[in-house]
Amino acid sequence: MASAAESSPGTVAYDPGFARDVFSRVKTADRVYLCMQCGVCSGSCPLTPLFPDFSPRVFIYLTQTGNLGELRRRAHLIDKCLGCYTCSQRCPRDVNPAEVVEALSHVVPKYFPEAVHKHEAAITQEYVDQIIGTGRLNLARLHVMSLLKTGRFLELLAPAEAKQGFKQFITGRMFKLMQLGSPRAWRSGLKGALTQIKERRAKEVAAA
Amino acid sequence: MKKVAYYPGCALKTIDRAYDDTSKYVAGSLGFALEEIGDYNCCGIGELKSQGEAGLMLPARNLMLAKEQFGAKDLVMSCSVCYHELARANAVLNKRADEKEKVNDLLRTGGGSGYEGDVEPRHIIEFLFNEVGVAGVKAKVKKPLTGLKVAPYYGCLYSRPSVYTGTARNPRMDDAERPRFMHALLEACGATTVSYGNETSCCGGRSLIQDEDTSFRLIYDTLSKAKAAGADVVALICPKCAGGLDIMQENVLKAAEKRESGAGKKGHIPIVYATQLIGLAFGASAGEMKLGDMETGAAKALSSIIR
Repeated sequence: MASAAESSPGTVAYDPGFARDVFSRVKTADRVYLCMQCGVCSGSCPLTPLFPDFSPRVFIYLTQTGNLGELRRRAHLIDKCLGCYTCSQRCPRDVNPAEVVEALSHVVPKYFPEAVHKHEAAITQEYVDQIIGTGRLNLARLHVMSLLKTGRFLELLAPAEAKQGFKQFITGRMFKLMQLGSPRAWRSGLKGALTQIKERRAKEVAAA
Repeated sequence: MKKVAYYPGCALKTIDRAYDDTSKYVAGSLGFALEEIGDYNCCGIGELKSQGEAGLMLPARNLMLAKEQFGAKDLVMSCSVCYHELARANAVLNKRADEKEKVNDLLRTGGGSGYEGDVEPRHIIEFLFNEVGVAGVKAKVKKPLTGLKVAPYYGCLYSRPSVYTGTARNPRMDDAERPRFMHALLEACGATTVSYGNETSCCGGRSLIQDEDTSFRLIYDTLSKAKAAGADVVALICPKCAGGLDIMQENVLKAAEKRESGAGKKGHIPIVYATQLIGLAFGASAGEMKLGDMETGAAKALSSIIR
């Protein structure tokens, strides 16, 4: 993907296949090419004021043109999208920028592996493993595992954590967490089918 | 009492039981028994969208269960994230026959009957507003919340995006940019609502662990604006918002204090669920409304009403 033209100064390389790859991942993608670059999405985005390089309008433009050089410079920000859908709400052409950015985040490991944020990816993986593994999400376990996986285990010893943990315990909520269990369908083949999908996706990421 | 299919979701079945219990209490007081669908699964919480049909099957399965077990046309839920995921699944399945086929294959693998995209997910606030109405709520109020200033916080996914929720498109639904249903329900209970500008802002819940700095800034913005507008409490309708605004508030304020001395105090405000406030107005006790589960001093802030 990194071509000679891209690395030589003054020239921009365009990858014509990139847009197809991204837009094929948007479940409601039939309006993506209607984007007229009005910028209402970026003007509404809560992240753009915090990260000026995070701009849904620019992401769509760079994707349409396949300008991977410029996208690479911004790739570390793509995963920051909060999924608040303000952009999609206000888009005058129903382009659904939130899901374009989301699809873009799914191809980051393939095109810009150096931009993958290891800690954030580990936390997303924890979500995927838990939900596919048990069919339900244990929020306390998610919290603890996320801190452990990202090297923040000392924070688990903070007084606020102990206080909240104790409160969860005496109110019986800790017990409810342990009882969360798994849906019956997970024991009758669904877990296996879901795990296959997960592995297929993992392979796709690894192949990149 | 009319039976209604109800999807609790993982958060409400565990650490956010306060929202689960009070949703059932309020709906029950108004003549609707929320009956949980059996064998539910996680909605995917937005984190499985990269996993192909798995990310659609999870919400679709809950809708299928509502139909199998209750013959339901509607599935009521209190969590805005679940609501979004289920509404999104419906929108995609109704548009894409290929996705529907893949999802149905998976559902049948799990012993299900398949799902046609014909059960409508409904958020508890919209459900109460439309099925009971302001007059119906008013008639049940025993202890009006007179004098209480509430900042209603809708967050993102209750009203956005219209393509999934139908807000501002379907006449039954709330407004997308300026939702009023929670305002109307709380005002019917005698509370005063304050306007503070962040009613539908994002709390950054998705990045609460991944990128807490961003999340904390967005949360602080909402907390401090609500406080500056004179609110006594912020009312929520989503457990993910509660994770940031309530459970993490101490850390949010600490981070704000680090950025600017004195900022911490300007952001401290107790957080409650809207259903807890409505329940109190219906005469429930603080214990029944699980006010003690909240982390930011809700019980103390509401002491004048509880008595």
